[in-house]
Amino acid sequence: MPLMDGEAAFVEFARAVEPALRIALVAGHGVDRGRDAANDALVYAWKHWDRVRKLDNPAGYLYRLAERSARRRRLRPQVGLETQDHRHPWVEPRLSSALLALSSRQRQVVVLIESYEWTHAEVANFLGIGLSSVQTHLERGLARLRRELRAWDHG
Amino acid sequence: MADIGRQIRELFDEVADPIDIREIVARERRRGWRGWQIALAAGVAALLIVGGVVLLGSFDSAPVAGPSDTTPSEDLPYLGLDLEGWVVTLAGERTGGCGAGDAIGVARQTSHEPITPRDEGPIHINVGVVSADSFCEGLALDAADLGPPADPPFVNDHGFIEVMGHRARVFDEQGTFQIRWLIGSLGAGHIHIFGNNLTPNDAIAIAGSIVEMQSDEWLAILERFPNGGTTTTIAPDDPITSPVEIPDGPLSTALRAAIDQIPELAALDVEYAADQTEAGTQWGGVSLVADDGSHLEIITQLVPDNFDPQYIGLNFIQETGPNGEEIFLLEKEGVVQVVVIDHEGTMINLIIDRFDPSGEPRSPGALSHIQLDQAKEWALLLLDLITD
Repeated sequence: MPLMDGEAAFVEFARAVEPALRIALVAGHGVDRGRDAANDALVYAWKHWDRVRKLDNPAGYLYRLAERSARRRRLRPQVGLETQDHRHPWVEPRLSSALLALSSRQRQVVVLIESYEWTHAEVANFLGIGLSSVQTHLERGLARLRRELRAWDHG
Repeated sequence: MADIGRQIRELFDEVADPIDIREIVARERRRGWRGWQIALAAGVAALLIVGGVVLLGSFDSAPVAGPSDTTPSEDLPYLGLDLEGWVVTLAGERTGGCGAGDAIGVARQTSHEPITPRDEGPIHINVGVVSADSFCEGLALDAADLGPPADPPFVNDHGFIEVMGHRARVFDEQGTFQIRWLIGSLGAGHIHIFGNNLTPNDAIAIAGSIVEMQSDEWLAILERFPNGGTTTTIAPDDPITSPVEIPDGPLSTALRAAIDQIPELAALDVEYAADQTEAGTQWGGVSLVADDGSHLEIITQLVPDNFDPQYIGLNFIQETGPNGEEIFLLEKEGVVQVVVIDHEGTMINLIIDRFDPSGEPRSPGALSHIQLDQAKEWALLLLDLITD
């Protein structure tokens, strides 16, 4: 069935923004809460598409909505990147624990820049923080990650 | 580190499956205002109608004063809200005190989406918290100030209105608005709104949304600075809104044992259970989930000696329990909440959320039929069991 105009535009928008929302929120809040929050934000965008599509920075707006949604679930699991189903056995098994040693904002910045090759400006715009903060979080996050991984190597 | 970056990406690709956009489109119908937005609009409209008073329908454009003495702290709460055509974004920012060293500014500033004819300039907003026993410019809400809401609801100085269930006071300061309200057991919040062509109901509506959405974050900050504090330097990584979790902590363990003795609750799935602690306060929480996805969250803690129950909220119905317990009941927008406090200060806070995150009622399930009486019975029973 062909999509209606509004639906097609939303699907195109949502497919573009979904990976960023999901990865940033999972990095910040863990798999369950982050993914739920990303889903909530996309549902909100669909239900309010006429309004959301007019925004200057709809991706950043949805991210902030999702952040709020994630924070409100304060009794739900907050952090967790573990999986029982390792499709990539070459991934360092202690990597998820090392990432959890970072603050949620450090984790978001490190993951988006180092792993998903976002620019500093893209991260700043999406997370709604300044460029200098992005750099600070990246430096501190990477240093912490190195320390954690080195501690294991020497432990 | 490049290799680690690749491995992180593979880890995330593995654990966080993409969200099915088509499924969202097929499942969710598009709609306009819902839930809290309708309630807020209705509340504001009711205030206007009942009061029959509008302080200033409009006023001349005035230079917009920006906040001063500010130190950006971008890790603080960040808020975007979309309300009646006003799109306001608050970026986290910590301000200095306001004279008495008792204010902790949280956020300020806006970007303004030009989508209505009312858009004739930016709105500037200062948002902050003050502790309950602090005074900022002599205007902070204090327990001794509390009285019945004033009539008419919009007043220049004394008297209160209700903003989203919170008792608030509105100060008209020659075209700008200062709105203060109680945000829990620990203190008061204030919003100072500057803007051109801003009407009282604009200010109230914006403030109402901020109060509703940010109270958790403000409470966390108040808990961190129980005496108000004068801190203006916050390290970027300071975990202001991140309590430390204690898995299998004593409070949540006791709570779970009590839950197991109530068959209806024991039949639900435990989604989360842990103690959390921050700034010397510890509480235990258990989140239960029913087959329809609705949640029942139970929190227990010892309330402080100076806890004043009236801070729980205006909309709660207050009762006295069979053993002298203080009971607070609320049923609002799909949420059933019961707070019970015994004479030794042990509190059970039981919350049933029947709505999904977008504000839609869930389909009938294990918790959808639960009414206040049943929730109260559970809360009293849990209190009895954990203090036994």
